[in-house]
Amino acid sequence: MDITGSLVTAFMLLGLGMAFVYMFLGLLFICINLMAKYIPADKPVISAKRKAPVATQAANQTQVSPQVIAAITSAVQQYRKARTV
Amino acid sequence: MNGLMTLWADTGVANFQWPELVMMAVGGLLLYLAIARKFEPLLLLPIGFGAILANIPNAGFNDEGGMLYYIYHIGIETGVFPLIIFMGVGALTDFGALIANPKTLFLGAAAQFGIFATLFGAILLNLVPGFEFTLADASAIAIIGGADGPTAIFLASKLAPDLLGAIAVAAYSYMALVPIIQPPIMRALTTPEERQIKMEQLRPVSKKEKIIFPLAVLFMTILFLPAATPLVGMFCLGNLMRESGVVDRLSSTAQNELINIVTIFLGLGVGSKLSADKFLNLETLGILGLGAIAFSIGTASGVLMAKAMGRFSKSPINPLIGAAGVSAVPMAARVANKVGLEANPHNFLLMHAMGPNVAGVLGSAVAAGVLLAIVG
Repeated sequence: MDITGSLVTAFMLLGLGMAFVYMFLGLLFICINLMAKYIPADKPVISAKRKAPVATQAANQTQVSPQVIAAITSAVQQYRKARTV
Repeated sequence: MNGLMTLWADTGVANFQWPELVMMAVGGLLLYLAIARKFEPLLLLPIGFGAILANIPNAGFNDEGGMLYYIYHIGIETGVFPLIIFMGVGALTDFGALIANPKTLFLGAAAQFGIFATLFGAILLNLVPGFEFTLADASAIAIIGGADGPTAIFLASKLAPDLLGAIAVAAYSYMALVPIIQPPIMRALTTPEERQIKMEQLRPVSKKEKIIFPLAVLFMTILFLPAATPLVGMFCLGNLMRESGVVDRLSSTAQNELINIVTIFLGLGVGSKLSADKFLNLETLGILGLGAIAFSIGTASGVLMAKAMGRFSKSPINPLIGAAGVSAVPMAARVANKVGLEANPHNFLLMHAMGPNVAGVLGSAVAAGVLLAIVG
């Protein structure tokens, strides 16, 4: 086997091979960037089931029962009286 | 008495020869590495057992009509088994990290330098008496640097079938030794500050992008490198089955049952090539040595490329992820993550390293296609 000839071929393979690998993956790089630019992102999935309890919970939080309000009011009044005395 | 003599003549004890015993010991060593050391057990166990079976005197496993003979000729010589494995690997691969950060494609490309640089080593070894590698042999040996078992077996079965056993054993051994081979090279080529670099969080990738990606890769391979379409095509088929979400049963089969079944036969088929006459020679030592060199050069090229890219990139790049460009999915990515965590315990690089890791799979398939097109 002619070593020099093989080394020249190997050198050619090195240059050609690496250039081709870079070219191929470089084109893929462009392809992926184009995809990112033109393909819309997935819309976030919000399930109705999860939304419902959140809404009712929020509604519950705003509607405080009159008994609780009365209890808090009387406690505040007692506290104020105790402070003035 | 004649019957007794005939029976004795048929025993293993009467027929053993030293080379066969040595090869059975090699098979035993592979079993030890697989079972006790957990080195690529899925492949090394059937390969080791296949090596033992192939060297049993008078059993005829490798003779025409023997089981290993058919497994090899049907599955490996035709290239079918590595391609089916590649389909399974495609079905197991998530390209999300690569699509989110496509710059990592260049790291996967850089790591292929190990393949082409090793060609010189294989040719120069011919200066040493006892070595006689042709350019086809050298190409098949060099692909070990791609650290991709199915690709190495596929290319070796096409370019250098006689060297297949040694090449497959070397490829899988070095893939198993990734956590030992890579870290010293990664540490030698980076500073502690570079190893601590934190990378930006990856963007979410849409389902459509993931579906179009394998089709785009296939389309480009058809256009520019049809010689690589067997490998890339099967890989893309597996990945499309995974990402399309409409053939979950097929995807699951490719990822589990099919890849497992074929792995058993692939291992046995490779083991059948570990016969004394083909393995116990100086060339095997040369292949093992060249494989280590190819692997090391590939790792170093990936790290150096990542360092160079980091200097010019707007977003920071940790050079450790470059080492994952040699394929060996997902072991090389895990190693990059581990070495990164040693430098900074809060810096998780795994997802960032998966980008170059899967890019390396594509890169080594393209490199194999180039070698096949020019040398084959």
